Amino acid sequence: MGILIIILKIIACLIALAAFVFALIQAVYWLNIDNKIMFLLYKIFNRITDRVPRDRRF
Amino acid sequence: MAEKKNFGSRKRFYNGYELARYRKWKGFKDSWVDFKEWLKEKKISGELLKADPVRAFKALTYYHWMAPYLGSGSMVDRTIDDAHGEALLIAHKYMQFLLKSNVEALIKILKSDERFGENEYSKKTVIFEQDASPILIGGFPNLQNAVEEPYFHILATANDQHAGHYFTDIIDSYGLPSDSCRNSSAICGVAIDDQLPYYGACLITSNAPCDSSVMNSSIVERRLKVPSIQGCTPMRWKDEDTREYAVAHVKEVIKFIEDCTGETFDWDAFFETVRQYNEETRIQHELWELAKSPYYPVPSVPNLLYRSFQLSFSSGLNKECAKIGREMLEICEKCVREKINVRPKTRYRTLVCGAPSSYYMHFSTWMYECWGVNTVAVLNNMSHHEFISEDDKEEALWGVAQLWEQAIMRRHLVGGYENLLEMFEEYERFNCDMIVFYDDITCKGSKSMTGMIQDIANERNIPLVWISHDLIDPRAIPRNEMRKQFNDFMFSVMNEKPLDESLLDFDDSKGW
Repeated sequence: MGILIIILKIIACLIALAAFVFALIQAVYWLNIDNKIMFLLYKIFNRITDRVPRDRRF
Repeated sequence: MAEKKNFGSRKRFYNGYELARYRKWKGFKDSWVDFKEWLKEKKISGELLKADPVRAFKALTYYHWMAPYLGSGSMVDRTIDDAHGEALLIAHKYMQFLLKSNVEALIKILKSDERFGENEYSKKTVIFEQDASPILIGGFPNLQNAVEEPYFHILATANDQHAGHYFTDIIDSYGLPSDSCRNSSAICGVAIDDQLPYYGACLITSNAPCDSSVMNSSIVERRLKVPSIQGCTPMRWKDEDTREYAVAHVKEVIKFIEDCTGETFDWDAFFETVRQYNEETRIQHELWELAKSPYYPVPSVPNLLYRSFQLSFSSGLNKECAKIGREMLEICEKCVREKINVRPKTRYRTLVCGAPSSYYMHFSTWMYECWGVNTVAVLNNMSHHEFISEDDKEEALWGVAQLWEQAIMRRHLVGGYENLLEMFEEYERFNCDMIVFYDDITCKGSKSMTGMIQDIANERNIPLVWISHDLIDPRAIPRNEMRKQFNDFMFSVMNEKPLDESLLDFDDSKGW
């Protein structure tokens, strides 16, 4: 009986964890967080590449 | 000047940006489809970092054209914004295929780049310039092709509207007049700024799409330091007298690749690629047949990008191209057969001509959302659509020459006026109600024809609108100016009212 309860608790935890991860991914999707992070990275990398010394010649 | 505030359906975007605060609710079913497909797209994009994280990071911190690819997710969102039901699924499938193919191409470029260390791939790579089809590589199974230029400015600008003019400013500062083709100018800027990857066994330069490409070839050649050959084919491709010269030139290119790489041209492998190319073309013909129907579900932008990819990048080399085409064909046939209308806002069907602006690829999406103008056909997509011989060597090489001669932006812009006038036949064939002509202000190809085209349209009572743009420089003609040109036409010529007033006038000049 005790083992069964432990197994049920583990399953419940796994379901809760899966629900949490799913909710997190949904939040990223609906709040467009992926694109917002990418936009930030894009700005950072653009600044870096603007400052790279280059062998500019015709 | 006071900043324009977004309202209505634009309210979810940051003012001045094409970046949304939150995603659009499309109903339970469509939102779930959108979410599932979005997850797949994230996985595909992640492959670039997974394949070689060190080289990817080095490229992001060295190449200015690399960071815009971080905006590919946003680009997908922009191009499918008008899609619902089957159209949404089709748009996602097309865009996933394109994302995957582009990620693979970028991985190929990064892995071959000797700037980041010696590698085994570089000497197995044959570089094709501009939009010349790489179909010949099908005859060299041990080699890989790289169609490089579009990745450095055209596709980068499609992701980020400000990516391309960084490079055109460089070539302008070296004295090139800024009214020359922005496409060729940008790649010169990439070369001068030392932003071409160091790779390749040899380079096949070309005069595709037009002779302005010949100008940029010499500057690219100086930087790449690999042997090169001019893969130029006649502009006047309808003239039978040019055939012998064109085929001889294709043979020269084959010999050149053999000499540079030590490989031998394998006719069996080549004919296999040709069969694959013909299959892709057959599918396209069937899609065009379905496009005549009012129930054709494919949104224009993914369709345009897919077809451009098929002609200029795949040409039978990418096995998945035909596979995805067949899947799309099945969905389209179902929509037409069962009369499923997934484009319910349609008030007008339009044919789009001329070179579309790279910084506003999703202009057709806006036309549909704001005015109910549904783009059902794109003249540029109807470039080379003939079948290539699958058993006769001479005929097959003639097919390759024709594929180069009728590259995208070439057949209908610089291949002679009779090709451009095909627009009026296509207008009838696809049951259109109007023509939208993208007038690239730096393209001399069709400039002299504008008066004649307008006269013919007037004579036949065909509504035709010119949308001026600067190909990859949104500072000259911003996206909002393009929208204003179309708004004026719809108000004054078509006497229409917009479906969504919040989309008439808004600022999206910053960021992506």
